[in-house]
Amino acid sequence: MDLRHSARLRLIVGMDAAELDRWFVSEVLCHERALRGYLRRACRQASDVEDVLQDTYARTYAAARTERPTHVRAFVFRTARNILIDRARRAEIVAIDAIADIEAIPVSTYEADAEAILSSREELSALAHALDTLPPKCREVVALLKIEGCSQREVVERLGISASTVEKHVSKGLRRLAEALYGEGQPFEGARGRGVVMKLLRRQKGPER
Amino acid sequence: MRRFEPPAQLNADRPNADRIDAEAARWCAKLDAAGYAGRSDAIDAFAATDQSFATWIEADLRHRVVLLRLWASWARADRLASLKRPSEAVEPAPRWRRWVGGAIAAALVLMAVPVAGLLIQGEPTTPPTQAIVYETEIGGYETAPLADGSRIELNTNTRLGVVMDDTARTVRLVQGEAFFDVARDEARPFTVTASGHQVTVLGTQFTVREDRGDLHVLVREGQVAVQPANTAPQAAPVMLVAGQRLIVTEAGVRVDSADRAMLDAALAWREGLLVFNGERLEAVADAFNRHNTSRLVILDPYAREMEIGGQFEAANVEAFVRLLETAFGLEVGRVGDSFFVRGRTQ
Repeated sequence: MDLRHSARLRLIVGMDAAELDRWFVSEVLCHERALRGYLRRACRQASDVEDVLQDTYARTYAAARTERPTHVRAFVFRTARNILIDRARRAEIVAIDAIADIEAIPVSTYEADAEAILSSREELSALAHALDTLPPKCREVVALLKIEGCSQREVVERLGISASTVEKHVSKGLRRLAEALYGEGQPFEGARGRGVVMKLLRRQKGPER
Repeated sequence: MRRFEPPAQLNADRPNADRIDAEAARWCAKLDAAGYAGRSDAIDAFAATDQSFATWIEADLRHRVVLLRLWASWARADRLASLKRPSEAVEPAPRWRRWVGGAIAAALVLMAVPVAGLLIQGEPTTPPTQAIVYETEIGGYETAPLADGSRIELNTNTRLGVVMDDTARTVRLVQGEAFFDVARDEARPFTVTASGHQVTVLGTQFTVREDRGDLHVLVREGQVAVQPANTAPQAAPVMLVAGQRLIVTEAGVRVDSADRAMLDAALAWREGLLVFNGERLEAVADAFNRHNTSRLVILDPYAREMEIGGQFEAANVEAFVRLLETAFGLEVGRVGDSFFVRGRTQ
């Protein structure tokens, strides 16, 4: 078959896992703050928030394998709500009021919230603050990796600790960084934090005022 | 019998969210240790080499999404590098090299270069400022977070120098293309110079491409002022707003407007993609050639005029070439690293 005469041929290739991953990171994760706000109200137990969040992500990702939702934010909220209602129905004792509660929360207000994405500068402050609140050893490891640009192997050499200890610090540190970026995080006070990293940040920006 | 089991048991085999998060964090640490930092294809690349990771990631889709969230955060934490004092950036930072990894990835070298005369033409700034040089190889892509909160994304085969002081932020684009996300700072204008052309902004998002003396500027957000080379300094600059594109060639200056699809297509390289909306095959081949060391040569004058639409991975010339063969019915000959395309002989 010779298709040269068709003026245009739209071909989509490379829609592989890595691309779906990129889509998920750039289009879905940015709604996490708003989604957490909604889930905190809708879940009876705080521990359920994380669980429903993970389920929501997994379902959204699975759905996007066949077709990417056009309105990602609406899709994510609808998915979360369905999960909540499913769970309430599957509970040992079906609490009708729980379902009524879920139905009563206006998803649309959370959905309509201006996207609570951190600005570039806020993001840097949030990261610096999260780093400051890490335990000292963990902070040192993350700072060497992320500020000094060392590799984990170099950190092992410089600090004289084992590779598995470095890995432990990294896994702890990165959970906190993720919390600062996507979660509701601890409230941080802009550039007024008191830790050493925040000082470094201020020094970079030059004297205030 | 089931009904005698305590209710808690019913969910016992379902790992709770916190455990998944902790496991994912441990794998992220291993991914980082194995040198996958900065790679968005890290999961599948690592799974191909580590069976226990492959088993874990396949076991539950929640594993993948939770890991993606942590891994993306870890990558964004690279912004902390901007807290490093410039004077400490004298040594080439090994992290950047490691970050890119792999044969196609670029090396981004951070090094200090004495600025006078080399990077910034004209009056040397009084306290000797140091420029930080960022570069990518063919096929490379890098993000450079700057100390002021701005961010530069470098496309393939790009080289630029950044100088910041209390009064100005200056980037000299020596070659290639870069996307700028500029943090607003009225006191310190942000200027990009390329081949003598000058682009000035306060805070906005735009790309600049240098192409053998020509200049392409595309504004995604905000407003920029362009002073083409060889214009009198007092001449009014060309003002561009969001969605506008400017091309300066020897023939002159042209400004047109780009719709959303054109903007997205022009910026797709930031995702490692090339997006075309009916471009001539010859131009498509040029785009692939900018991103790869291999050569794609279109021999057939008829084929050169074919219009191509679609979305392709910039680094995967072979996949594109296969499509030319199977979908477009062209014949492709391969010599070493070069692909020669001609119409299929009847």
